[in-house]
Amino acid sequence: MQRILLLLILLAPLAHANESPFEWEIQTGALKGSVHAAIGYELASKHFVSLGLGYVPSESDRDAFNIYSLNYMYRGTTEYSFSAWDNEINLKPINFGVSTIYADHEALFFSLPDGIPSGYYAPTALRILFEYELAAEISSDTDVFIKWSVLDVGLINYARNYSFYRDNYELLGLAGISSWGVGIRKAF
Amino acid sequence: MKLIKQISTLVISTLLLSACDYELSPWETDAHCPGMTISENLKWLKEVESTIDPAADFQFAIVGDPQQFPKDLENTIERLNKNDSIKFIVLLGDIAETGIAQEFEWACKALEKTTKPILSVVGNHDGLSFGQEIWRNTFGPFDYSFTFLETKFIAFNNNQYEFENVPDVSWIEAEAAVNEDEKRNHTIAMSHIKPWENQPTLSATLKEAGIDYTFHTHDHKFIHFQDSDIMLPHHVTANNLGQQHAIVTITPETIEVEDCAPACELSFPTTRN
Repeated sequence: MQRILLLLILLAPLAHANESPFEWEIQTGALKGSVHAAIGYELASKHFVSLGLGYVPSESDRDAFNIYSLNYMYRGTTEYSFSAWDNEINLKPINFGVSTIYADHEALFFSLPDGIPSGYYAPTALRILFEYELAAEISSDTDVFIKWSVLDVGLINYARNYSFYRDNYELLGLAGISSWGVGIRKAF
Repeated sequence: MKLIKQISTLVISTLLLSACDYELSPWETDAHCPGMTISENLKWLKEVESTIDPAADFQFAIVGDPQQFPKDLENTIERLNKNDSIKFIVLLGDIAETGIAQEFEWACKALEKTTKPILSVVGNHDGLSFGQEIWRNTFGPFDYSFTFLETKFIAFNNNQYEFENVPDVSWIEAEAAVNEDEKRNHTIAMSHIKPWENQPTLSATLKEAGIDYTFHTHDHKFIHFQDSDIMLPHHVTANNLGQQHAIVTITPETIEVEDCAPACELSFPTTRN
């Protein structure tokens, strides 16, 4: 799986036909690793999918592991233009996505370990992220973006306990469930 | 109008960036839970004990399974703060649902409102993902004991799917033993899960070791029973949804339990044959 993804990401730049529906992106943070590389494809106007591979370094009490991701993103066409440093920048504020991420660490499981009754736990290695992205087009084929990710359990808890998050965290409680990251995306 | 939208977008983004965390993955092992270590709370409990008449009656509260409902946990803590008879709170596990650091942090945000020491016991869900590492870093040991006004409390880990070789029965027996120069009114054992069906002799072993009462959660409903051939009462506190909890009153002679949902009423063990 890891090799296939790496191969796809490395070979993708070869598909350099004009108006290619392919793109690559690199991001850090937002719950996808210290570095996360992905190759994306435009399924239809405004609808994009991508496959990615992230790396989470080791800590004193946990080994390093990889994160595999499958993402769908809706990217609206609303743009605000402004000039900065002699460049025209288009701000794209309407981008929403959902990702499934899988971590390959022995402490996490997809299928329940032996001895635990069927259905006792949901897989701990598989999670869903809900994402919002603020992108800025810095050239005709390149965007940089800030991304905020909310983990599945975060969204569930926020819906069930809205007043708790509102009262204890900033920005209507969203600060309590969101993690940010930044990245760059380039079309082939 | 266009300029206002641009500025609004940038301001909101800046606020979100400054307020949110930069997290590499959901599976981090460092949860921000200041003041929650068992050692800090035991030290606090000693200070509380030093202000009370040694012969006095006292109460403690049991809260369990608050996972996914931090608002109920916060309300429960604020409710217990108003009751001066309650000297400490025992949090009997399942603070997290999936063992994720964020889940521990949300619970800790509610727990930090407490004006009483909180002694936490690990639950089965707390042992998922990297929850065991988070537990060690945030709370401390899985098994520990303490004495409060001549009642000994033994907290043990019996989450057998997530941990190996639990419970540590010989450690419990050693902790339950009364020292020659010790004056003890009661010995109470606490774990997340009531004795498992595949450990049919545990209740008898605990009784023989000198345990007078055991307290648990996990089943998400109030249960109170004792087996007729052993007569060791086991009490299970319901989950914290709707601020459910239990209050235990200790006198030198008696142990009395109230089920609170959230209004409290006395609970008595059902004797099973």
